[in-house]
Amino acid sequence: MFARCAAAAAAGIIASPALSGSAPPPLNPIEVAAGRAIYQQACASCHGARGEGAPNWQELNAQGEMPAPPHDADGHTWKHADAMLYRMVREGWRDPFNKTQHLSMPAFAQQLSEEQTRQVIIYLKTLWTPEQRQFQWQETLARGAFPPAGNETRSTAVHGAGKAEKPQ
Amino acid sequence: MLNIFVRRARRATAIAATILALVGPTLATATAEGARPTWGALVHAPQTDTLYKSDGRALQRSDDSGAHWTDISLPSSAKNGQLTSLAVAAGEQAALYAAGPGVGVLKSVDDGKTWASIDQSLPSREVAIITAHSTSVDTVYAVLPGGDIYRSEDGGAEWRKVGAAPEGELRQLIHSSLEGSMQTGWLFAATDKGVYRSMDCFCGFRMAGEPLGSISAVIYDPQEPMQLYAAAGQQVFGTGNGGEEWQPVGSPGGEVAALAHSLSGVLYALLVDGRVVQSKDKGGTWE
Repeated sequence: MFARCAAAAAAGIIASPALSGSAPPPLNPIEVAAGRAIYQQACASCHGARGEGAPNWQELNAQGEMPAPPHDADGHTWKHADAMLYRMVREGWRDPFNKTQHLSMPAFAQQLSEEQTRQVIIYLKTLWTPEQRQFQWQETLARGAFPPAGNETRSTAVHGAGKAEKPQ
Repeated sequence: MLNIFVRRARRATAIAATILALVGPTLATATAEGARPTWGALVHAPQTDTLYKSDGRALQRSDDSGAHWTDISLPSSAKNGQLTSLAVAAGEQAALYAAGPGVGVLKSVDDGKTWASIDQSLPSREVAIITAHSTSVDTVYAVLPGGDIYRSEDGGAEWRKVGAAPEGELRQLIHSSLEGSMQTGWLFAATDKGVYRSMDCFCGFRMAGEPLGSISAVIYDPQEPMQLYAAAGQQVFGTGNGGEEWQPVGSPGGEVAALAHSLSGVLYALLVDGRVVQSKDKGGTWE
């Protein structure tokens, strides 16, 4: 039971007895508000003020890189489990078929705390449809939630597929 | 230089398509929008070094690299359907999947002696394509004629819609262990417009390299995942960089319906006349 509550807290959700049920738990409005502010400061310049992504985000740009994708319902952020989204924000990302070698999605581990990282992802969930939230919740159940607070290395030290804690 | 090869291959494909149209519709009749032609399917089981093939109706196996073939019985429920797609799961059990319009999805864990229908939670039995995850034993993907892609992570008991096929007519979908995915691997799709590639999180299919024309099959080398092959008409193309650049590597001597690749480096091609030929030099020469 403690592990279940801890996982729920790590996921930024209000504790729910139906953690393993079909519906995603409601989002904590305090976390959402904090995440919105972080997003506008750290993410909006590339991903758009409303999460709409860069223009022509589905095609390589002039530098040979995939532009910043949307985080709203038109994008694919909702297809990823919390553990994967957390790792992407902390470690950054480079599409392996980009023509450049640097991270086109910068690593934010030095700019954002673990809590801020979770909060900004929680805010992104407000941009999705109920069906997308449902899908993403199932992915999180299957592939991993946020790492427990203060224990980031449990999900981010391992490269490759997400190795985060699963909600119990 | 590549452009010249691609143009020649496209011309050959167009000529072959014309010949097929003149010969008759039996080889190239699409069963439904988005479904692959009923040319057949070919898959290699690395666990037992067994080849399985189908001509759209019957299912056969070969344990000697295609020299001899043995019939495999299918359940009576599949008799009126078309067997258009085969897959073998990773893992020791080597679960064999067979699918097609009217067949749904069948699964056998005893080399085809017995079958179970595992499409109960799919919205339709008009399944066009089945493919197995390259490393995850119980993960399998099914494509319905409209292009919706479903995934099961428990060997077919439950299915969930996870994405959509790329534009165009999808002929084949494979899962590859190629590194660099956000999730666990990559999907490559053979379509009438070329080869498409997507991470297996279904974050979007993009054309892999130049458009090669109408592709009937795509396969990858499991020992060298950056190495893939695609067939357009009688021409086989190869790439050594995950699909960024393709070069013609050879022709197996007939229209290619499907491709398979063994762990030991043998590339197999099922031709539309039912023959299975093989290449041990990355598609350069065929026997």
